[in-house]
Amino acid sequence: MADVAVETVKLTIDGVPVTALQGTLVIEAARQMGVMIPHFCYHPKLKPDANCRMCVVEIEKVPKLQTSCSTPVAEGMVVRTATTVVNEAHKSILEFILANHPLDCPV
Amino acid sequence: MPTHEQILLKNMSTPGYTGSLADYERAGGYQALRKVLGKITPADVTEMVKKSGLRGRGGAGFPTAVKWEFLPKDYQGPRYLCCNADESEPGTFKDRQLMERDPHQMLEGIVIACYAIGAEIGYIYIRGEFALGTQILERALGEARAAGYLGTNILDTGFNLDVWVHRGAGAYICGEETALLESLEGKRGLPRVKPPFPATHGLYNKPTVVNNVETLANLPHILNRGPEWFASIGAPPRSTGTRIFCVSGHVKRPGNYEVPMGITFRELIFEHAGGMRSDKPLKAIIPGGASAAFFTDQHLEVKLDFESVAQAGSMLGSGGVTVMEEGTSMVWAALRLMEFFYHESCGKCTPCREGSSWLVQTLRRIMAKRGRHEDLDTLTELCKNIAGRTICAFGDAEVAPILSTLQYWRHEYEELIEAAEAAELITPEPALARH
Repeated sequence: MADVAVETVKLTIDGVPVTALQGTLVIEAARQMGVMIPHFCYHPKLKPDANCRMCVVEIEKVPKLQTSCSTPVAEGMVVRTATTVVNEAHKSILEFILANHPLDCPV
Repeated sequence: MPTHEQILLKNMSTPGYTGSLADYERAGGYQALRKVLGKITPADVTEMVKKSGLRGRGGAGFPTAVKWEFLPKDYQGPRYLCCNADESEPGTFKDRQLMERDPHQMLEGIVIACYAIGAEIGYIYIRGEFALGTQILERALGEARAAGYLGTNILDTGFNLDVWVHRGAGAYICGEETALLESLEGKRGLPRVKPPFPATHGLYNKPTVVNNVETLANLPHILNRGPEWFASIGAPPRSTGTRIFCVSGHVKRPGNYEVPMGITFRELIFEHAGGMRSDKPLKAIIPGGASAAFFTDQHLEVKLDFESVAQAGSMLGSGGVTVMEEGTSMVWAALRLMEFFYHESCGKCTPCREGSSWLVQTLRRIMAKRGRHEDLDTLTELCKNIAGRTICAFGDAEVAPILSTLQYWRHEYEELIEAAEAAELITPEPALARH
C-alpha cells in the first residue's frame, strides 16, 4: 500500500478532518468516516448521474448546494452535510419525489 | 426615429440582397477572413476579440474571448466549435433572420472562430423547426466549399476546416450547451453536470467552444473594422457593440431591431417598435426571453445593457423583448410561460421535473378560479426549492416568471383566489393533467 502513487487530499467534513485519496467523491469520503449522506440515484458501481439531487451538501465558498455524488474531494474543502439549509433541501427533494410517486415501494 | 448604424442587419436590409455568396462578397464579405488567416495568429485574433468586449449573444452574456481562452493550451488533439443555432427562447427570433437572410456573415464568423481556437471541425446545431434555415445554410456551405472558404488548405494558408449542419428535434433544452453536445453526439439531450465544462470536456469529451449565431456574426466586423471601433459602440466597457432585440407582443411594429447597447426600453419600444399596438398603456415587459424576470412600466428608463438590466432585477438574456398592454392578465402570462417550461423540462433532475409539474398545476387551478389562499405561499416555497438546486439553469429560468409576477402583481393572484372562495365552486375540477 505504501508504494501506491496516488495523492491524498485533506478536507473537513462536518468539522472532522478527513484524509482521502484524490478522486474520491465527497459522498464516499463521508461514508468512510461514518456519515451516510442520503441519496437515491447514486451507486458506487455506476457513473454518477447527479439527477435526484438528494445528496446535496454545503461546501464553503461555493454559493449553491453541490451534489456530493458528483463532486470529488479537494484540498482544504470544508463540507457540511447537515445544516438547516441542507436539511430543508432534503425535505423538499423528498417532497418533490413523493408528489408524483405512489408510496407503494414497501409493498 | 433615431437611426443607428446597422452592422449585422445591414446586408439584408439592402434591396435586392439575396444572401448568396456573390452578394455577400460584393458587400465586402470574406475580407475579414482574408485579413486574418495566416496573417494574424490565432492568439492575436483572440486578443482582438477580447479588446472588442464582445459578450455572448445567446443569453448568458459571457465574454467570448475569455471562453475561447479556457481551452487547454498544450493539448494536441481535436477541438470543436459548435454554433448554437437552437434559438428556442420564447420571443427570440434574431438568429433565424441572421441565418435565413445573410448566412455567409455567420459562416465567416464561424471560420474565424475555428481558426482562433484551432478547431478543424465545426457544427451548426440548428433547431429542427428551422427547415428553411437548414436548407439555406446547406446551400451557403456548398457555396463556401466551392469557393475555397472551407475545406483543406483554405486560402492557401494550410488551415483546414469543415462545417456541418446538424438538425435538432424540437427540444428547448438542447439550447443548453451541454444538452446540445449530448444531442450532437446522438444521445438524449440531457444536460451534463458542470464541472467539467465544455472547454475541457465538450463534444466527445474533447475541448469545445459553443457560441451563439449572433456572437459569431459579429466576428467579421470586429476583425474588419477593428476592436476599438466595436468597443466604442454601445455602452462600453461592459456592454459593447450592437445587439439585435426581438420586440414582440402588443406593439405596432414587432420585429428585429439592431441598436447600440445602452438605449432605453422606452426608446426601443416606443420609437423603434412604434409604441403600443392599441395605444393602451404599457403594463409589463419581458426584457430578455422567457427566463427573464418581468419588468413594469416603471422600468422604461432602464438601459438595455447587461449591467443595467441585471441591477434592475432581471437579465438582458436572449434579447427577446415582449411587451404587454394594460388588460393582460399577469397570472395568465405566468401560466402561459409555465406551460412552456413544464413541456420543455427534460426530466433529468428532481426539482425541475417535479417542480414544474407542481407549479403548472397550481397556476392552472388559480387561473381556473379553483385556487386556495395557501397556493401563493406554495408557489413561493416551490420556487425557492427549485432555483439553484438543478443541474442546469432551466430551474432558475422557470421560476422567474412566477416570482416576478407575484412581486409586481400579487393582487391579481389574490383576486382570482378570492373569486374562487366567493363562488364556493363545488363542480368537478377541470382536467388538470393534460399531456
